[in-house]
Amino acid sequence: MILVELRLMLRKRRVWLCWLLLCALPTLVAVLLATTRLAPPPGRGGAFLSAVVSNGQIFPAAALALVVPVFLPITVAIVAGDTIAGESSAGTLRYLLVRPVGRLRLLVAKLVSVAVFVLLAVLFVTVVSYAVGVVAFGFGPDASLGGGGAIPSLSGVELSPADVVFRTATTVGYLALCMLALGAVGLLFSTLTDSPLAAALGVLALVVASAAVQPLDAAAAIEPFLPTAHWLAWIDLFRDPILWADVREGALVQLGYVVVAFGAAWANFSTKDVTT
Amino acid sequence: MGDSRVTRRWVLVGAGTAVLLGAAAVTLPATASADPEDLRTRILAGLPPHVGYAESTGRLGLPEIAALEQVTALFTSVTRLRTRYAGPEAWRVDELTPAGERDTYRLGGREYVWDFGANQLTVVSGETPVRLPRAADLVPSELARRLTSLTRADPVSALPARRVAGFDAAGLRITPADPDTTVGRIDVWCDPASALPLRVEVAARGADQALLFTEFREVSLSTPEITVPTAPPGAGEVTAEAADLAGALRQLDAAPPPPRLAGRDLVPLAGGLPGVGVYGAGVSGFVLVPASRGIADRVIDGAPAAGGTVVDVPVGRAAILTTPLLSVAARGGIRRGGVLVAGTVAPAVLDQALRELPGRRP
Repeated sequence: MILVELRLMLRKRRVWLCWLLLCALPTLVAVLLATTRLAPPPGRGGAFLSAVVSNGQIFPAAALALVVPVFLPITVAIVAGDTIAGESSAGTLRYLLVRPVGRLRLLVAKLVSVAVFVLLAVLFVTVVSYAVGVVAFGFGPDASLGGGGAIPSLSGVELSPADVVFRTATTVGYLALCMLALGAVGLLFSTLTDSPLAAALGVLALVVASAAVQPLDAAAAIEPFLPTAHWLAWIDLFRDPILWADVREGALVQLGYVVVAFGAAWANFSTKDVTT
Repeated sequence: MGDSRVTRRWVLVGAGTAVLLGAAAVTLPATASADPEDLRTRILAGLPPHVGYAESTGRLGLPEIAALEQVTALFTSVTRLRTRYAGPEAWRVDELTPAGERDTYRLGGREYVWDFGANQLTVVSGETPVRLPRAADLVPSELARRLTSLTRADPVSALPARRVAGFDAAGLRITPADPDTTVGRIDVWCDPASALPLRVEVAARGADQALLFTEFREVSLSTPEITVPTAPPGAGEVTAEAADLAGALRQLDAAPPPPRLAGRDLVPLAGGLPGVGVYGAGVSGFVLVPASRGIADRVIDGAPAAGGTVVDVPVGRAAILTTPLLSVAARGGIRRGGVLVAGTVAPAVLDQALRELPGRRP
């Protein structure tokens, strides 16, 4: 069932288009920076952007900071909103459920496919932006001949290549979890409506509402539980030593969203009358 | 039957959500108690070595002041801080921002500032008697030490314990007695065993809610090793003398600070800075700093839009920006430039100080 869903997802043109666009935005930024050499002033602009001009190996971090706030959530909303509502609107959901598989298994398979989508999305952005970064800006001043040198952490201490790989892999995993939480909400919305667009817009409404409430002093009590509150915590992985506090808290909050949203999707979908 | 299944599933989901929220919100009870006077004495005696991560929140509503944006941000937003404190002469505080970090080290009589955004390490030798507030001042332990030393003679009382960063913390409240200060209360919660301050709240007079509070989210009583930072390859490294600031101020051709302003005597400063004066003691004092004409004019011009008031002075122009906790004033027409005056005092005190300042040299 899971493999069937994965194959189905990989055959969808819109999925590949999402990945392509996610990789295109950082590439465009790299081209602009490389041609103009006008990096944002220190402390302004996206995280790491002011430093990429001197070391292309930092570009994956800058690229992730670029796509995480808006573009990545949009693609997750599109894909997750389509999971059940897409089958419903296409008239294939009833036939899917005729097969001897439980609705819970179908939901699990759909969630796994969303998880694979977000993991690959973050991974593609990371790999493509690394390649684009070193081509556009080089390996940095400490590069050994023909290969990557060390990357300075935000704290100024140099990170060894092995350390960079570990931190980048942890970042990919963390961001994939953050987006999976959004995907689980999308899955829930997808069980509530027959319209994939409505489900996707619901996810985006949640993101916008969370981002709007987050900076308010009056919302301080609920701020740690907002879905967007910890999206940038991965930046702490590039400090030395790593500051785990926000990453740990963020991971727990996102796991909470996955559990609650998936539970609600199951509660709703298990007994839903499927007529299409 | 179908309806009951629906209900059962939703009840299960609801209960699971409640359990998750409950687990996140639950805090262990706090029962610590300590004699507040004894606690204050122990804070003043010195901080124990510690390593921690803290967050400071400022809600002063201070408008952005030209050329002082970094300073005003400390009092108007959330500042994330990581501290490693081995002793008064061996510590490091990192100000963590979404775009990088700015780390301040103190070691062997020197200060080192690593700024990721600027890609630069600055080595500063020496010290000045007065400097602008910086992120390191907002670490709960450091802020508590500073505020308790400024309010040694003010009455102190006990506060209910609270749990901070896993510690059962005992609380004390200092209530500044001087009627001219805007500071209504300073609340400090400490680990009763080590007297390490864990949370500090500062509220304006008559206000219920704190306008500045800082708290450790994680802290351990371990002794960190502080090493001299080195600039990574490709980064810049500059050396500066703290005394260079005196040279920069001399360029402003500032007048010597008057011996008395707004009823407060000038506090003598070791190795004083030209034109800089500190008046009064504790939290009811204020500081006078010479500024370029451009900075003073920008503050005065921006004051009405920021809710400030224009002050009539015999010579030049002046304006005051007030918040419940901090007052900032600027006056132009002082020699070739102007001055900034700031303190946790009532606006009337700064108003009087502005009027008493001598004007342009004839």
